[in-house]
Order: sequence, then C-alpha cells, then structure tokens
Amino acid sequence: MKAAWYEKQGAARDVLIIGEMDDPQPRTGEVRVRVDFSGVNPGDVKKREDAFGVGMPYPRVIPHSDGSGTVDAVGEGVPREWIGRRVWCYGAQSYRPFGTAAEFTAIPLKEVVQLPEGAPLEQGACLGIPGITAHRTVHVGGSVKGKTVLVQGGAGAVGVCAVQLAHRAGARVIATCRSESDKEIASLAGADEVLLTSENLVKRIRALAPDGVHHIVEVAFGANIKTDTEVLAQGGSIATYTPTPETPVWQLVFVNARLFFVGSDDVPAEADRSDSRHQQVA
Amino acid sequence: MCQRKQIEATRDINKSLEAGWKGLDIAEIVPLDQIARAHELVEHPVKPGRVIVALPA
Repeated sequence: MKAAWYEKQGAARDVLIIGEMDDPQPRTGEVRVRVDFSGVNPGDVKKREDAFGVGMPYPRVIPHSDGSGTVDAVGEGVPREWIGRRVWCYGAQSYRPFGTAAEFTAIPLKEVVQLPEGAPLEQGACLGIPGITAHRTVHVGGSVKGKTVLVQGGAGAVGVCAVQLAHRAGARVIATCRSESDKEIASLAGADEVLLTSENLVKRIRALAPDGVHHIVEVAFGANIKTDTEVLAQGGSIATYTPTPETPVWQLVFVNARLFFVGSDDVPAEADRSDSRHQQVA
Repeated sequence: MCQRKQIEATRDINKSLEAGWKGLDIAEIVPLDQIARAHELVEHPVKPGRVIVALPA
C-alpha cells in the first residue's frame, strides 16, 4: 500500500516520507479500513515534531489518529457484516504505531464507528479527536440539560463540536468568538447566543446569565480564566484541555468551582459517576 | 484504559450527524503526496477549518 511515515521527528518536510509498505492484516478484534480521508490534528503535528519531548515511540510511525473509509477485511472475532461499511475511526495512532495516513489501516473495532447514511466521509475524518474532546469537556461536570453552558472559543474545531453537543444535550449555549464570520459558525453549530470577545464581555455574559453560567468549556484557559471566574455560577464547573499558567484560586474558592482537565485519548476507568482527573478547588 | 466515554461521545456525534448537523468546516483537502504541506497548514493555518489528507481512490 501507499503510505506516509516518519522514522525521526522534526520539521514536516524533513521527516515525512511517502512510499510503499505491506498491506496490514487485521488481527483479532480488528478491522481493516480502506482509508479515504485522514484527519490531521494539532496533536499529530506535535507528535511528529516531538513537542512533548518523548522521542520516537516506535521505529516508524504512520501519523494521524482520525480517519474515514470503508471496512474491507475483518480479524478474528469481528462479524463479517462489518465488511463494506462506511466508517470513521479515532485513536489509530494513539499508543499504536500505524495511523490513517495510508491506503489501509488495521484498527480495533472498538475505535471504529459506522458513519450515518448521508454523512460525508470527509466529515468522518474530522470528528474523532475534536469531537471526543468536546464531548468530554461538555459532560465531565455532570448533566448540562437545562443549564447555561458557556463555550469560550465557539468557532474552533473543539468549540464547534462542544456547542453542537451541548445544544443537543439540552443546554442553553452561549458561545464567544472573535469575528463576525466566526459568529455565524457558532450559530450554525447551535449556539443560542454568540458574543464577540470585545470589551465588556463579562458584563454582556452576566446580562444573559444574571446568576452566572453553570458550566464553561474553555479552549484557552490561560487567556480567559479571569473572565471565566467572573461569570461562573455558584458551584459551577470549568472544563479545559489546555494548560493554565496561573489560576486565580480565591475567586474560584468563593464560588465553589470545580475544574476539570480532560483529553480525548487517556480517558480513565471510573469507579463511580464522578469523572476524570479533576481538581476540586473548594 | 476505559473506552466507555469515547463510545458515548461517538454515539452522540453520530446522533448529531443523523439529525442533520453538517459538522466542521474543511479548509483544505490535501493529497497524500503533499502530506508535509498538510502538516504545515495545521501548524500555520492560512484559513479557518480542518485539514484532511485524501488517499488515492
């Protein structure tokens, strides 16, 4: 098969190689997907350039965890009905060497999802990491049904998915974004209110939610934490997947905030309904 | 690792697609031969939206 790979980390043009490899054979519990589209996420790029400083995890890596295509072979234990199904997948290059930037990828069935009829394969390749990350950030603090959810950054990939998923889950969604064109993106995703991040943002959010917002999906924690602390309702929660340089702890203590740091890959086994690696501030 | 949360997420995403959600804007579809350019577009976006790589049909 034709594939792209790297055997050392560095700049894209220096390390990415295109060539021929043997077709993968699906092992027990796996399917083989004939890939149509391979999604590129910031995390894939960071792994390629070794932004996490962990070195090469395998001698050769075919990048990209997200993708879409058609199942063309199944391993032992997988019903043959899967053959021919249009699917999207996630996690192909998460703790595994060979991702979706190849004509074929062999992947555990549990990381493969049938694509609904009418949904384009192109979308299937877009939704894995941002969609799962967004789902975690929306739901990690508990049910959002009937709650007011603020999505800070409602026009980026995770933000759009978060707006849509919170909307579908029955929340009232306030989204923030930086331009008029972004406003339209957030509205189309299902936001009830979209605010530009210009001056008086706190005041304008407070006007929409006088008692504060119940849950915040935060795509830029470091930049927005001050606004977040000023609009969070008593007992509210914030979920983010980005680092924070400094957390104004006292204000968060006063509202008994709950803070969640989530990712799409390393979802922990859970003992009860309390969720994820979270930091109870107060 | 527990995958229940991921599976819940993919089910909900599928429900949105089934209900007619159009998903994410795509900035560019790049052929596999130009994968390095696809990575560069993610590193330095020239327009908003996702970058995906197309495999040969």
